[in-house]
Amino acid sequence: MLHHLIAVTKHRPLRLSAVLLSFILCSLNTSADELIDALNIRNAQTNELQGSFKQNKRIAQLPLPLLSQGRFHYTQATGLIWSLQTPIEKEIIIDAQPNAELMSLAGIDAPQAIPKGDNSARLTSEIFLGVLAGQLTQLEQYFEMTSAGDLSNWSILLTPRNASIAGYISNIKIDGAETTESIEIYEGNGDVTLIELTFSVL
Amino acid sequence: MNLETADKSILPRKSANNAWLLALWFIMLTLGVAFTGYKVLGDNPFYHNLLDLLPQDKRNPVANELGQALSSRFEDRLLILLKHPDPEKALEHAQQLQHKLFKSPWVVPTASSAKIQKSLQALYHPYRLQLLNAATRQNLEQRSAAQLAQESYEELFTPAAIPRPLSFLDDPFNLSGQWFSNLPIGSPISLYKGFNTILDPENTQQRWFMITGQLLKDPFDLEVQKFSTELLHDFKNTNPSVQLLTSGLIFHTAAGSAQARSEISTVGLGSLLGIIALVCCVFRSGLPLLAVLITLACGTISALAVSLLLFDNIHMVTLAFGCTLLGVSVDYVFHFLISANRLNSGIKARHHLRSALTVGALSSISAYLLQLTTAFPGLQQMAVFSSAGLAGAWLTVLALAPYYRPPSHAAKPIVSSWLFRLCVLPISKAVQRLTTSRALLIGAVFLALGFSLWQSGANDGVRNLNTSPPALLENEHQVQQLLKQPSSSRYLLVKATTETELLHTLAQLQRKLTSVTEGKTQGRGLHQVLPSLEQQQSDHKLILDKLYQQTLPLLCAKLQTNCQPAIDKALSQDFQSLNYHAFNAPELAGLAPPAIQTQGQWQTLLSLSGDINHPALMKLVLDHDDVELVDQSEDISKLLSGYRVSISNILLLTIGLLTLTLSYRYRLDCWRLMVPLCLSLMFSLWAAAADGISMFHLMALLLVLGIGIDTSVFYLEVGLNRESWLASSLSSATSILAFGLLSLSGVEILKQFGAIVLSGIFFCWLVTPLFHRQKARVTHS
Repeated sequence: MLHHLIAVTKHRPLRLSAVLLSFILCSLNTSADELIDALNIRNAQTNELQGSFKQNKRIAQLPLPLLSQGRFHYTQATGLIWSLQTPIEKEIIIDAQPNAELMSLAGIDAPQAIPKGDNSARLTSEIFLGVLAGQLTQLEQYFEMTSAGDLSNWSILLTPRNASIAGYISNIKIDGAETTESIEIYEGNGDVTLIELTFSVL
Repeated sequence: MNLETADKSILPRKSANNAWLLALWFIMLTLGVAFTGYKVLGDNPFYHNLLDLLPQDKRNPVANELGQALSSRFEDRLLILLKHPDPEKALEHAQQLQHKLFKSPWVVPTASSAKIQKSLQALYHPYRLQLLNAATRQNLEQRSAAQLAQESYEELFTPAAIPRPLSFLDDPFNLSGQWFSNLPIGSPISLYKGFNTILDPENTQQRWFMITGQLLKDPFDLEVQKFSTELLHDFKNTNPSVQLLTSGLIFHTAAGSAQARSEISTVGLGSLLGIIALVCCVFRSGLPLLAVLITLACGTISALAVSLLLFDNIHMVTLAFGCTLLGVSVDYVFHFLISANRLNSGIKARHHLRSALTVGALSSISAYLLQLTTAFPGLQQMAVFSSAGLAGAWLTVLALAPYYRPPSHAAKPIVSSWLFRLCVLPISKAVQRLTTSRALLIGAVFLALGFSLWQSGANDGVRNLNTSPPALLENEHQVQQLLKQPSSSRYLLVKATTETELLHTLAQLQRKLTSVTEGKTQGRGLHQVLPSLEQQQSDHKLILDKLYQQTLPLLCAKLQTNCQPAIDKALSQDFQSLNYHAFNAPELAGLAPPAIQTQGQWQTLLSLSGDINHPALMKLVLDHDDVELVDQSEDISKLLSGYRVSISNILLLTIGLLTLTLSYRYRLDCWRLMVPLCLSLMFSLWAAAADGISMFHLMALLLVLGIGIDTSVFYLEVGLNRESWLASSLSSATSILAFGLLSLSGVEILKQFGAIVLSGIFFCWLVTPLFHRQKARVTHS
């Protein structure tokens, strides 16, 4: 964990049903796969999330980290609005449409090549959306998942299944309890991004 | 056959000549057997590449080579698409099939994405300061350094930005990431649990799971073909709910080989069994059957030996076609056996038939050899194979005839005798008497057939050359649609004197193509992965001036870091041009269409996808002198049309030459040969080429000509009698049997051959007796 880690305040935004379900699931002795299944069920019921974030990006070879913060708003139907507030003001909208396409080299030749055109940003958007909203089913398309802990305190390590994605993202680590709390993205070029999330009650 | 070498007293007077002939035949046969055995057992000389049957376009060899290069780049690849309503099950099946495929020693996964990615990065890395896509270039030109610095700074905070393949100091503006992400390559792939899939365009909830492999052996290798065919066959049988699509040359070669094997056994075995049945039925004795089998064996050995000597390898389709030889070469032995039975002497029968046998054999061999004049390698082989087979059979009859002693109880063919006396002879005599009406009738038939043929027109479609089953072709078409692959048969051929000019023309053409087709037709060319030298130089200058000298200091100030080393490094690097030769790595073959440099000229293709038949394409081509629209289907059709005309001329010339030659020997009786023959030719075209006459129909007519003339020559030489009619009927029956089976072939060329020869010989057998008279009989006394 990086030394610039910023303390976060936890909130409990989930509805009663989700809390009850979590309680029941917590009482079980869950295996790694079962934990992912349980998180999937829980996250699927999360229609809306909002809160603030603090991002710490360390670019390889640069002496100082890039610190930023802002707010986010996610709905299952429309996707994610990621609003950077400091040091710059910028709003990024990632829609909920899944399945970015990769492009192969002439199909039969090399079917799993390179993220293509707008899709390259689309792919990273999709992965980021999946990580933030805990859309594990979606992330499963791109990553192998290794989980640890239980529903009250869990950790998932995502390792790319696809070699071309592995060229850009070495792995992603997500930690959370009832919601995702922190995300660490390790890129192939040596850059590391840590994002801490604080959820607000809707 | 009875070789009475011990009893010298029964040998004919010219026994020395016969012995020489026999010795010659024996030496040739022994050499043939030894050579064929050596080749067949040692080299496995049979090949299955059906593409070798196609003619080579000699008019534009470079365009042909580029087209070949475009379509053959993936000859050693295979692709399987798999669909199941439940994606989880589909994934399971795909993994199973993939595991089985790669477990074999012949198939390996295609170059890994990591390898391609590394190759691409290694290719472009030294040139990253001179490569800009159009959007980035426009952005650099239009925005100030301050704006660009702010954009780059903001980009660093964005969690969903274009991936950065290089570190910040190596590529602070992520030019590599932007260049890679805009390379116009490939097909849309979407991952399902890391497995490559294609979303079904008709139902996006469904996916096609994609398995690709690279063959380590030739796609024409029988072992690999057997493995791939059996693997898919077993998989389909055990998983009937899974839908499979395949693409790759291996599946076509496997289907072609299976078809050729099946046809060799159908035609070869069918003809052989038919001949045995006929001989047993007519002669009711073991000796004639042995004579027939020895003649057939010698004919086949002779055909194989000469073909292997001249071509080194024999196509499987040649073998399938060559099986019809069984039906033709047996003609000589039938005529001989019937005559020998009647004269009760082999040598007298040979003497009696010597002219007929020689004229018949030479005319048939000449007709086959005329196929050598075509540019189809497969047909040239068929010509040599059949001619050598016929020559072998003919020589066998001549060499062994003196040693044949007919069985004393030679059976009289009662049914044929009855048929001949009650039907053939009275009708023939009646027709002979109607001289005026016969001439009028023949004229009317000629006119009617001629009119009908004129109406049916020509058939030069490329479909004639299809050698794969329609289902497999449809399969391939579906895969190409799903992968959104550019057409490999219709594209723009672009020429220029230098590489730079070529790339410039391509870029210009691409812009115009998008404009005139309103984006409905997309082009893919070399210029999209390789900018011209001028463009590279201009972009290099723009990047150094605008980005490194003006923008980077501003960006680094925002980042509170010292970027001077990065600036100094960029400015100190000398410009090196990226050229076509850098793309030679095999894993980068699919990146762009190929280019060829010959004699100071560069040629390449702009491949087309989307609406490849857009009417504006032709106008676009007319506006550029150095651009040509290549439509391979149309080109092959034109080529076939040209060959059709050439073969028509050859056919007419052959008929003319035959008429002249035969007039010399038969004088005025020559018309008795030529009229039924010409009627048969026209009738067979009318009956078998209702959809239009193709060059293959005409080539088959050359065979009808050769075989049909045999029949007429025998009638003219020995007269129309019970024996000659029976021999002719038996010969025709065996030919009809062989070609009838060939007309059931799945290969269009063979089917057309079979249908023409079948109808031609049948008609010839039917009408020729009506033009011949009885002659005084030669008897054994």
